[in-house]
Amino acid sequence: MASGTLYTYPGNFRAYKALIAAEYSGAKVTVDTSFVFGETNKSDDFLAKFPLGKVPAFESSSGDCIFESNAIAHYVGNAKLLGSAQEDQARIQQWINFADNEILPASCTWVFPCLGITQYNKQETEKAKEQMKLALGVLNHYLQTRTFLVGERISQADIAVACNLLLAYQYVLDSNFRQAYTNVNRWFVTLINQPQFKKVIGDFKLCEKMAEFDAKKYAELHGGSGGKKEKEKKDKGPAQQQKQEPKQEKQKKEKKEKPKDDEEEEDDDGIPREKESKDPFALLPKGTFDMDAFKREYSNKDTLTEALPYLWEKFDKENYSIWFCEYKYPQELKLVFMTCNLVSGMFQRVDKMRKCAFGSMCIFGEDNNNTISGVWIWRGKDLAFLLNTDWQVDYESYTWKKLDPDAEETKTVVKEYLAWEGNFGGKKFNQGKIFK
Amino acid sequence: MAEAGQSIAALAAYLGVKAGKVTLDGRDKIPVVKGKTGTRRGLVSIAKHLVRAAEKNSLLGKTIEDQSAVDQWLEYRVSQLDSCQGDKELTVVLKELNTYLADKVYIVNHIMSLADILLYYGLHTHFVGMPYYDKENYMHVSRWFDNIQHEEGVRQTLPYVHFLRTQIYDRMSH
Repeated sequence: MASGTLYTYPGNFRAYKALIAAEYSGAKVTVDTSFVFGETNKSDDFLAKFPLGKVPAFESSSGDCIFESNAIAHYVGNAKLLGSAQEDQARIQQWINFADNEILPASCTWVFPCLGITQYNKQETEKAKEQMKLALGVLNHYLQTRTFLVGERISQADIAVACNLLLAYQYVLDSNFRQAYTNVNRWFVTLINQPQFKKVIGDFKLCEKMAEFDAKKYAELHGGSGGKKEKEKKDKGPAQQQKQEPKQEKQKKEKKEKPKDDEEEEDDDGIPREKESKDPFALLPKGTFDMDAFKREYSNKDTLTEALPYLWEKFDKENYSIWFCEYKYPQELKLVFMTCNLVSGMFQRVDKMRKCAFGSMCIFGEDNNNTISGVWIWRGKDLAFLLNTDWQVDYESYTWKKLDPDAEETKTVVKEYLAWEGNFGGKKFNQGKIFK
Repeated sequence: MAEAGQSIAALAAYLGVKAGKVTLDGRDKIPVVKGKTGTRRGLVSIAKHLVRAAEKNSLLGKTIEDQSAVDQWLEYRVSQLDSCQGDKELTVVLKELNTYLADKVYIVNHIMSLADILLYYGLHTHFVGMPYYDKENYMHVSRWFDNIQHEEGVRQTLPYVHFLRTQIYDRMSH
């Protein structure tokens, strides 16, 4: 029988997979209570055994060091959990992979913004919901005629899939959403009420109201420039208060999970570090204006009442500039869709500017009588296209005028071009395209 | 109609205790066991006695709520299932169970209890001859039944009932 020490922070659903398996197999797994996330797992001693520095990690009493939650669960499991026939083993493996590949990414994308761990992105969240629906649909159909996933008894397959669904069932799968998946619900509720599960995860309450993005918490957790260190400091404080604040505790934990698992760690201005060296904008001072944050405001909120006030409040005149452009050869423009393609083509060619630039290009008029003009905002005080020869294909076909951010006319022009409404100096608005 | 005597014998074997001699009393064939500690009358009291004798009280439910729920379903086995006269009444029972089991794995509170075992024994004769069409019709009962018959030591010498994992009949109601 396997025995040993498990390193993890409390409430880690990945560690649950191993701990529940140990409850079933009777393996003696002790959680190292002196473990401090961010310290213990960065110590030389720990890294020598587990070079990734990730948790959960397991050290058996015979000295075997195992990382990756599913592997640890395998190590401490027994034949009942792992399947005795090869066919069953394969099926169990199948569901373990299903849990990690089909459920977990969608679940994290959806739930993490609700806990303030990651930034909210409407498209990504909607996509994640669809993925979740698909995975739950498959599971629901499968469980129609089955009690458990493989064979007639609880196996590691059930443990792995249920653990990866914990977050979603806790925060976002409210009764309305989950009513379509009665078979999955039955299976899940049965599992979390098994004594072996309860001993590890405690009393579990299914989500009542779908959680939504918590901007305040996000700001709290990610505020300031030296974000990461502060975060870790904050992590440790509440660790002692877990008992009084079980919910918050959970969130902290999840948050800790994030930085090590996903590669989306970005600088405060939203530029991945590795790319910085290649980005011509990197040479310019960053300033205080957060282009990404503004784009999110613009995409997710009302333009006139929220995004524009946000822009004028945060705009950094010293390091950013606003430009107006107009197509030089409107007489050559024919059908509107061709004009559209011209604009799309330009957007594609300057795609690398995206991180530090924003633009709204509008097409006015109708077939055989149309023109293009637009408003751009980017980092730097000069024409951004001069920074890179790849960006210079289109810009010469336009006249460029730098706008004074303090002038009233500028506010009107920017408002018209971002909201796609207004009189545009008498031109008839046909359609617009946003570069963001 | 399910034979109470067989259920008692099977339960005793599952629990690893001796059932004693079962006699059937009167026109209603109520099982009676005369033991050293007294006479027990009726399937429910005999079954509960056997569980206690085997010191497996958890099968009777842990909390008071669970205990009364188990009792209720034991009563259901005797008063509803065993009293079925013909297919029509059985259909009512199966429909009822099917609805009840739609969101459950076990009859009472996520864990196997005496209610599961006795209902399984009681339904077994009906399931043995059941066409696949009906098994699929009572999908949730079938799923539950299949699960219970795989529980170690429950089925014993009873014939294994086969179930299909995939649906083969088209139904409007899905």
